[in-house]
Amino acid sequence: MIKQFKQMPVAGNWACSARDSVKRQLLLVVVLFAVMSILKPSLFLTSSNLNAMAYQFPEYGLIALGVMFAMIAGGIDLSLIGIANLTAILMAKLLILWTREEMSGIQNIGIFFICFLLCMMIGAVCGMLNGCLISGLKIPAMLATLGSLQLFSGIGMIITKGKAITGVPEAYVRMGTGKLFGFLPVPLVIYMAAVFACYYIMSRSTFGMRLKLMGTSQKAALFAGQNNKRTTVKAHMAGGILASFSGLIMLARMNSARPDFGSSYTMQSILIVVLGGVDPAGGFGTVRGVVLATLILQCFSSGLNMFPTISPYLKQLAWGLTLLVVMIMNFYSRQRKAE
Amino acid sequence: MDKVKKIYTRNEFYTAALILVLAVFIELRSGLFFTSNNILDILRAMIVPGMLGLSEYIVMVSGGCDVSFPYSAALSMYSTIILLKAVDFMGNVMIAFLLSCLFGIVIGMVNGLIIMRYRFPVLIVTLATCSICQGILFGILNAHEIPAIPQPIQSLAKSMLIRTYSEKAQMAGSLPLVFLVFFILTAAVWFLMRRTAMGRSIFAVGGDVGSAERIGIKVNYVYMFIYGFAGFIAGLTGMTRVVLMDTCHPNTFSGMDMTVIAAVILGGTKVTGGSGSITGVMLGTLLFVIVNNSLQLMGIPNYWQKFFLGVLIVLGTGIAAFQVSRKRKKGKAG
Repeated sequence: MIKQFKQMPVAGNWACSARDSVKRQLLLVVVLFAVMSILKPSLFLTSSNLNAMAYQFPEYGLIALGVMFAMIAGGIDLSLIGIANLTAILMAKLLILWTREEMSGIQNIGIFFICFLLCMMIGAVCGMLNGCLISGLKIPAMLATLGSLQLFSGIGMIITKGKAITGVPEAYVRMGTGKLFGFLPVPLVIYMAAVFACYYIMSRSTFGMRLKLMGTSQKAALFAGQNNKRTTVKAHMAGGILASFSGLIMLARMNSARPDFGSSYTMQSILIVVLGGVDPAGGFGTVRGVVLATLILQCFSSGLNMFPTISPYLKQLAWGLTLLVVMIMNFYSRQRKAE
Repeated sequence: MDKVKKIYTRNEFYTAALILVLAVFIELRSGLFFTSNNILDILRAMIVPGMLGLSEYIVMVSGGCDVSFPYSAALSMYSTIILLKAVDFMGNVMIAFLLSCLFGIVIGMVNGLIIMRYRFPVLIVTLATCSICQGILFGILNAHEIPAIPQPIQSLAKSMLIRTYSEKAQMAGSLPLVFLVFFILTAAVWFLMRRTAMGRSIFAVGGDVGSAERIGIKVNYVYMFIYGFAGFIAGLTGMTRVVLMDTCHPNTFSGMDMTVIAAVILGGTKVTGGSGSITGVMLGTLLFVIVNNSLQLMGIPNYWQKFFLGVLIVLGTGIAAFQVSRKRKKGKAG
């Protein structure tokens, strides 16, 4: 009995070890960066590599933020990559349908803006469906999102008939891969904006507080007079919106949309979120931790790319091992704190 | 009267009804459903997803959700084949099966060890091991298709259990001998779950771990057994797949995880654990195989498959979850 009691997660302990884990993560980012720079200074420390990194990580970083919301709520969201692909496909379709060669810049921007809003709404609706399945029908989050992942990519499959959509207007691609003020890549700007919004939601808003309370204990949240259904739906809607941003970035980078793109992102985003110190049982997690974990992963994978002899599949081996090791390490550090 | 009522509320009933409706519909549209070759085709297509479904069933009854089986099966299958090819294997086919099962058990034990010791969410642990298996398979072993499999396995692949010829469809049908493996495994799992103390323990652990511990079930031992056995089935399925396809392709199981999990759930196995039947697993698998095989017969393009799959999963889990909540409400009222 005593042993069992010790293993029980206590909110205070998670918060305490989180402060440590942020320090640990920051150290890891710096060390990884330094090691890669020393090992391959001619490849890693170049502006083109740093640029490439800044274009890559916002895609799965946004999805990881979405998974964070779901996981803090006590569930998980595996369907976000499906939402991202679906929005990318719909955006491509809409853009091809509505833009003409002879349109002026202002008109183009207006159409982009409308499409952007529509896609955000699609993401939100998809997320809402997830939330309703989970809170309304009481399907376990894992299965509901597993099913909706099939559903969303199935809809994408039907729209594209299994092929990739190409021929996105060049103006969109230029905008999505361009740089703000000449030095800030647009995906990075979107990512940073999303991070600030999430940070504000998690630490300053009532919704963030409610989310954490619900993740810690559904029953306690219910007795506190919260509407748990609403909180769950909102959390998944936030995830859906973040995923739709990710889809828009992917569309600009790939210049095409496919229903089965980025299937490795699901695993990667769960890895990031757990690495970022979010409690897989729900109730605790910080935006800071998730952002740092995203940076760690990007440094690691960019660094591995510098060694052409290492097979890209070994990365998957590394992800799986890291996920297990980090979870076991967190387990022991929590146990130590409890004693 | 009570018994009839009970049947209505079970998921198996809806799945069976759906299968019947689908079969009649396809028969009416194409007239080729109830031919001997189509039925044998369906039985043949059921072997691999059915076996994997049994392993998922055991894990799900214990309250987990295993997603590592596509690549643990592929890894044990592939490493067995390269080992056998390296020694120019000519002996009994049983050795190939045993070796593959052994690899599967080792991978399953790793899952079991981590879940037993740390009690992490099963999905996350098995996602990680799935990724690791994939990394080993493609990164370290550099896996690619091996068309020339060892001689004893090839000869097994050519031996058939039943051969028929359908006048109506003008096509010959056959059922391979490895169908027996599937049949025996199903019987064995039924015996395990319904007639042994271990089976009862698995149900008890899935119902409530804490209570199971208190009534004296060694939960850690049960977890080890569950994941070891799931690994064993994965290894067995890997070898069976090689025999069925007459070739060894490392990507042969990718994407199968969703179908198998969905089939098990549609058959009425509760994802929260503690409940489920083998009849349900088989019916769920049959439904998916029919949907997969028969979309072409009905003239629906292939790319609709994923969409139907998603709808079926959401509907299946939704109906099951809805019934649970309704029962709970009734219990409160009564």
